[in-house]
Amino acid sequence: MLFVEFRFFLFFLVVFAVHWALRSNTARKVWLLACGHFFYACFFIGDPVAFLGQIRDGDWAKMPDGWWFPAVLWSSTIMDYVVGRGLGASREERTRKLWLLASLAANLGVLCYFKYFNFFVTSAGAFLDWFGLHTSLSTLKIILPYGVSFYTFQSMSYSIDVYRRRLAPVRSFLDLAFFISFFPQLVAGPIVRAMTFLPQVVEKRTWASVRVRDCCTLFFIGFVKKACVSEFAAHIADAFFAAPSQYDHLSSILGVLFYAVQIYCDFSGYSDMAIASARLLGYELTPNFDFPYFSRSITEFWRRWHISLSTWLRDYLYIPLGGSHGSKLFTYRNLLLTMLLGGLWHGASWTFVIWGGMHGVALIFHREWQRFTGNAGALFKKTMAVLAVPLTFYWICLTWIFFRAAPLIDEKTGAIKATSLEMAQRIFKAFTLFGAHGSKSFGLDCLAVFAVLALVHWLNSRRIFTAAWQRLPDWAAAALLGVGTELAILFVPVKYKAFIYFQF
Amino acid sequence: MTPGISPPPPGRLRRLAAAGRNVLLFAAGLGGASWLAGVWLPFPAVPEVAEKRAHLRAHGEEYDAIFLGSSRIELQVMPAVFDQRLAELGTTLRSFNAGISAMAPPEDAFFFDEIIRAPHRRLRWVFIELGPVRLEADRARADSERMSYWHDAERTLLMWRCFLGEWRQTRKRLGRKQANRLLAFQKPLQAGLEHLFHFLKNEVHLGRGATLATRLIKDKPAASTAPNPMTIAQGWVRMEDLMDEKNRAPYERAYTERLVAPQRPKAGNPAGAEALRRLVRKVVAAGATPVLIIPPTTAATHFEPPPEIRQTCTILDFSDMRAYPDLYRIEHRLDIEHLNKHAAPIFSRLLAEAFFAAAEIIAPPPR
Repeated sequence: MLFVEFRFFLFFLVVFAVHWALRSNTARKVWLLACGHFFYACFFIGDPVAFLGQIRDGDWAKMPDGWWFPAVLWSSTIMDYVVGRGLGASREERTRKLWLLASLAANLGVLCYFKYFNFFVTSAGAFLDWFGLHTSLSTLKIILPYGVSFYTFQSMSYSIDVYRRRLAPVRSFLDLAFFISFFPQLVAGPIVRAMTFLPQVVEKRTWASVRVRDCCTLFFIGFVKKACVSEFAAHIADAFFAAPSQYDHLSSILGVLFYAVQIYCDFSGYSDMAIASARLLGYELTPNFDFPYFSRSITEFWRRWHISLSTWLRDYLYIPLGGSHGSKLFTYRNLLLTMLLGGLWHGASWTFVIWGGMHGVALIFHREWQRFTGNAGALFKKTMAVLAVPLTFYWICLTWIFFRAAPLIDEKTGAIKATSLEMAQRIFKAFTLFGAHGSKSFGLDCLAVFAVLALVHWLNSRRIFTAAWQRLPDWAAAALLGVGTELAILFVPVKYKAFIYFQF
Repeated sequence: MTPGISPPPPGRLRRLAAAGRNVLLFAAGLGGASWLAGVWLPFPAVPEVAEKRAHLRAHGEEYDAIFLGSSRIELQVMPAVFDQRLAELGTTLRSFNAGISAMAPPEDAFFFDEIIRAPHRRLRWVFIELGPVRLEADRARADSERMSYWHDAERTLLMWRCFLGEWRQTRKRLGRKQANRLLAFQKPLQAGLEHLFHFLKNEVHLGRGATLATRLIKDKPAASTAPNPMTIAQGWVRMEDLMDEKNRAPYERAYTERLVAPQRPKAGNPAGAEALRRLVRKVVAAGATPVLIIPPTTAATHFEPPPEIRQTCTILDFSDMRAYPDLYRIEHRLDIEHLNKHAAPIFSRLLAEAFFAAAEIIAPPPR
């Protein structure tokens, strides 16, 4: 059930109406917990009525793949609840450490098994082959549960914060289960910290604090980004990344640019809809994006892109590694390690590791650059102020090539004709060195579309639309939102792609 | 006032009224924009449908007769052969095959409405393939534009009548205390909801702008200089050659069964009768005469029109294997439902002869 699907609107309407109709806070939490698990189960069980029929008939062979994944979510919740209680009851530092290690081992174990087992096995095999040690390591047929990377990080944040004594362990299992399975952020974030969310769970939410107009506007913006812009950009990006050698220079550049549009609109659109849905239910989630493509440096980019992940990595990885409290080399090692692991979090592939590595190197370079140019003249600083945004964006686009590259597979035989890494190299060459010699072209129409999208995004970053929108009376905003909704529906492709970040 | 219930405070009432007004304005904005989009957007580019509709809109004045129906019309009726045979019999007429694969009631009526909007002064005969209303859509087409484009209010209401009919039949069959009732009702309920979604999709023109925008990035096909296949074949679509092995056994089994127990009429869901009544009325209102066709299949039953239609319309019935043995020979068949390309001219000639015989009885209305 995707946020942009009609059935989600029906689902949300029921959730919303019952939530606000219930009087007690506990009843509301029980209701939202049940809805969260139903929402999550919908990704795996397909048709709920047919699924119930299969359970009744004991037809296990025909059960959809991954029908038991909700049990992983439950076990993760139960385990962290027990760890929280254990941490609360222990006085000895050694016991507390053991509790924390148990939580980390279980959460990371789940993540490693589902996400990285096959990657580690194939990588180890290739590594040994390289040394001439031929092995026959076999991989497993593992399906990745949706959102596993997100909810394990959320669970870990709870255990770590309780361990650090920044958060008191929750007494109510319901509160913790509700926090982990709150459906707006369950499968693709934002990664909400226990410290931010649990205090909201304790207090009863009031309808008077919900700003319906702002929520509807934010949901609408997210819907347009995901369902209209991202899907349109995906047509171009997918065509290009599937056969990069067939396109000319301009189209190679457009292909990469439209992927940058696609991934931003896909993920930030999802985050907007998640935040808006949560607000309509009275809860506040962490903001996730702040016009990252207008960043003047990679450091700034990571303060504005996937904010909930970058701050999580900072607080639970970079700082525990030592952060910047040490020598320059020590700091850079920490930076690089954090970004490499951050890259690996996105997917079990070396291209993601390279992507993370490129960002790590860029962060180090930016620190050094700041040191070298600290005393530069005003003219130099002015020039750099103009060039900073396009240069940063250019580097981000280069990194997206590795992020997006997929292996080239022969349609007839199913054999891999080129690995992701080889494909990334080809695209990199086409994008940077004008190495594209194909005859296919996306045409100037697409360039014009990109220019319009960039202009609208820039105007939006200057808060021009926001200011005009806020001045409108509610009745005019409602009518305009109706017209806008129809326009958005017109540009929704009938078949949706799943959110890119679901796979992570 | 009810004792014990205090009236809501005035501020709350005002807020409720404002919320209601905003919801209404939102709906008005959405509805108005949908209506404007409907006026501005071209007819959806549904494969086969769009081509035949465009042809009939441009050349409607050239035809005296059209054939409406599914692949059993589209693949089996060769208008050129039909016209020639009628000419040999002494009647001059030009016909067009408007059959489209998997077109069942009430989609055929929607399609007829679309083509009849253009001038059609020569149209005297409309041949309609008899078939029931199918509640459940072909899964392969379920999410396609082909399923949505004909779901206007009239057709959706008809599908809901069909759904309610199926629901009542299921309830009657199962009784009140069946344990698996939910699963038994699931299919008609799901189908009913799907039709409602198609209606909504169609009303708000879901994705129509995206389809136009996607054309921006696709390679534009070069303008074709070849003659229009619609004009050459008059809407007939050539089919596969011979029956393949997987269809042979089921056909032979069905053939043997029909020899013992001939095909029988079945009224089915009342919505099917209503759909046919409406289409017949539309044809008559357009100044033409409806002629109903029961195509040559080896299915156990065929759709039985309601009594008043049976009395007023001519029915050309090809379901009798003994009367039309040529149409049931295995070398003339593609499967249980369809004839192959060798049988299409035979069927077209037989159709012309049956029609000629009937046309002498029923005089067409004067134009």
